[in-house]
Amino acid sequence: MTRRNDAIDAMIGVAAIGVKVGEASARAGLATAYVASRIPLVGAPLRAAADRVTADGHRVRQDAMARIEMTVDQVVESSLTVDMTDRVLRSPAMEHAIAHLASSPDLRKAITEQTTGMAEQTMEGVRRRSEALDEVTERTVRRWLHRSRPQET
Amino acid sequence: MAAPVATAGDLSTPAPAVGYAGVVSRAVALAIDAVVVEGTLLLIAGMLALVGSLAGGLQLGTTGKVVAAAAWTVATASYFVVCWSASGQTLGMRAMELRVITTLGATPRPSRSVVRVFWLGVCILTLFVGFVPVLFDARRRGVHDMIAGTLVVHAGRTPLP
Repeated sequence: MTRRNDAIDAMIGVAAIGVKVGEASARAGLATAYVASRIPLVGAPLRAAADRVTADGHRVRQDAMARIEMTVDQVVESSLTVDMTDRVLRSPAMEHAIAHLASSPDLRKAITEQTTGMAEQTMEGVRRRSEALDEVTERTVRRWLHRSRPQET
Repeated sequence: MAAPVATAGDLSTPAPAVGYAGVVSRAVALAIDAVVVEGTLLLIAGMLALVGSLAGGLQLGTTGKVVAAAAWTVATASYFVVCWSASGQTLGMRAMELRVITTLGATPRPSRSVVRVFWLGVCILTLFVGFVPVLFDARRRGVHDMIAGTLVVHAGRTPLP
């Protein structure tokens, strides 16, 4: 068991070294390209080529996104998906899962806490506004009657 | 047995006005209480009426109606008396973080609460005229507060020393 773990750790270590080497190579390559793009005569065509590559990459990414969206729409709208969803929802496994979730104390606690938090927030808002209105109401009525607030004795 | 009603002279230090609850906060608390108490009593009355109708029709005579109205009033008043005497707060006041205290800063005794609830009823029956002094009084007291020797303060912000 330990030997097997050691082997796995060694493989992961080798992979990590590979990643680091790759990253360093990429940095070196990019640095070279950056320097080359600054050299007169070579720099301008090199930058133009880089721009073309970037534009191609952008177009390919846009196309890919559009295709993915179209495919997802087709899958979601297909009757097969609806049938499968209905079948899953009717399945005993789903009922079991829902029953399990509904009886979960953690879930109930979370829902209770959320509800309580919302109620407290609402009441806090009502209290704040009421206090502000207390002052406004008294000021307004006193202004109408030209009376100042009496001082406590 | 009634607790001595303290006067303004009991206050040795002037309190900040913000500690006393104003007319809007008190109105909201009273509205919550009204919904809670009257809603509960309506539910109970509805259930009794349903049971009565299923049992062959419940017909109340004049005496029965008077007794029912008296019971309704006593139940409502009891709610306020018990809540004020127990903790100085009804459910509505708890929601609004208000508290009824005596002018000495203590929770009102049942006798004082009875006086207060009686005059609260009078203030309400006179189209809330009894609440007008809240707008002008330095300690924001209504007529029922003045007679019962109580104050309504924001819980946690004690205006008394």
